[in-house]
Amino acid sequence: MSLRDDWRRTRAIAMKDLTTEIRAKAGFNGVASLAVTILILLGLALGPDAAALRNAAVGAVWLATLFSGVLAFNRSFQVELESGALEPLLLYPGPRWPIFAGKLLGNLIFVGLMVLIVMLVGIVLFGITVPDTWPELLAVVALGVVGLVVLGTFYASMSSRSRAREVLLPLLLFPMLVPVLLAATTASKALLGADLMHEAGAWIRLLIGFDTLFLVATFLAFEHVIEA
Amino acid sequence: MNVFEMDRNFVIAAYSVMWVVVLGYLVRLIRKGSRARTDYDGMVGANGGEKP
Amino acid sequence: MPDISSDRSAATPPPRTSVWLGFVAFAAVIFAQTFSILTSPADRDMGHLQKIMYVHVPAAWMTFLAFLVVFVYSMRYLWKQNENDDLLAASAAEVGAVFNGLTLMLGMIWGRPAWGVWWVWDARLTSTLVLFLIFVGYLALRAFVDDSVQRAKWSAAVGAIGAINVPIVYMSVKWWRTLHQPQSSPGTLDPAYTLGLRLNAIALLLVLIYFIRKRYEIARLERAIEDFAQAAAMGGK
Repeated sequence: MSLRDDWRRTRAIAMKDLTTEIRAKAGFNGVASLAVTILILLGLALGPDAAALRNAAVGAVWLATLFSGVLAFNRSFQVELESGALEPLLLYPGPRWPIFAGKLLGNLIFVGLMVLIVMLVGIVLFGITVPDTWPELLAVVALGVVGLVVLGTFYASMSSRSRAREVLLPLLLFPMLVPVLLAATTASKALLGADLMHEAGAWIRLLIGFDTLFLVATFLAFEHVIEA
Repeated sequence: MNVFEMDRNFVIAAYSVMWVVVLGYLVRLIRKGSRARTDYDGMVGANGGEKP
Repeated sequence: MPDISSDRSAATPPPRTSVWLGFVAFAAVIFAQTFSILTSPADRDMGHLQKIMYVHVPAAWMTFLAFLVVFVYSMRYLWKQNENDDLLAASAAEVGAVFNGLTLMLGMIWGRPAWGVWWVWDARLTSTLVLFLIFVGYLALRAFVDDSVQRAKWSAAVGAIGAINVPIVYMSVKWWRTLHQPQSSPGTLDPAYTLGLRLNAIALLLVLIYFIRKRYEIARLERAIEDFAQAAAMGGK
């Protein structure tokens, strides 16, 4: 098996998941609507003072992303489990990591689109002026989403097959995401301001380190986790 | 009540919490352990000392 | 799913934890606490409050030690697939969670009179709290998964990955705080204080060892009982 074949399998699984999502849009629409609803509720709970809202905007966007994103991860494995498709998938020869990579890619696109919607709504609702440093801001968001999706997909591969998966996944995932949450919110806040202290760079490096470390760790661990 | 007396109450509180937690867990372990041991011995006895 | 590894756990009978280890451990704690309370002078700045440190600091050390055991035995399980390693990791996780909870409570009891608040979002406090949450998740995973092989493999992965995250959490919270306000520095250490601290740490280490061994014994017994029940169910059919 060459790396090309592995990549083909990765792509096939991601495409399959995305096709399923596109055919039945209910899943994405539901999760994205929930994210926007959470954002609105946070706005109501923290408002109506405009300055306070602007301060809280970054945190609100990230929390809405976390709380609704967690629903996407269990879904991606649940679809396989309900149709009994995971076992035949495991029977194919070759390494198992393309399964993880495929799920990861599918979830990345799913959550990435959701975050874009949440951000746009957040900018409008919380009265954010988009700064000149928006490419860096997008990079922070992308790195944060990668961290969220890597750990989310990995833990969902277990929690989706346990009892009480709805409770278990956030319980496992959220404490692990503390560095991502801190880095992403602090860096975003710095970039929305003038970033006078040049904090954003250090946080971006932390995010890159976090993503790389856990990407490697989860790929190594997935083989053990999926066959059990 | 002066500051030192108040401090002493916090010290007493800390040591009390420590002993309640540690002894509480100890009691839990001992009870759970003796129950598990009885069950295990009963099952070994029922099997005539044979392992499954 | 066929359970092959259960053969291995049945190969050796569950160990017995010596009662004497427990006695010695608790006697050591009583001795260390009495000694340190009697000998330590009241601190210049903190007065009697500093005596809380004799239990708080060793409890924190034991927490980290217990989770180090979880990490090591989780990795060992993933490597060798010996079920006993999984049971030991789980035992250390439960005991570690107890010490972790204790550390947090004692920290708050210290913080209220010393800083005037029950909680500050300082790097050490916050990362200890996050560590607690990570291992609550670990124990919840074990409670929610019935198949013993799945439980072992999954919790080993969660334990190892969770432990990797601990230094990162610490670092991130530290940056998050220090970029906004300077870190508070610990006071100077009296030599008498250091001796008391060491004695208490050794005593608590004995308690930790006793707890983990006792918990491991129970885990092995329960596992053996499960195997008996399974064998009986198979034979009955």
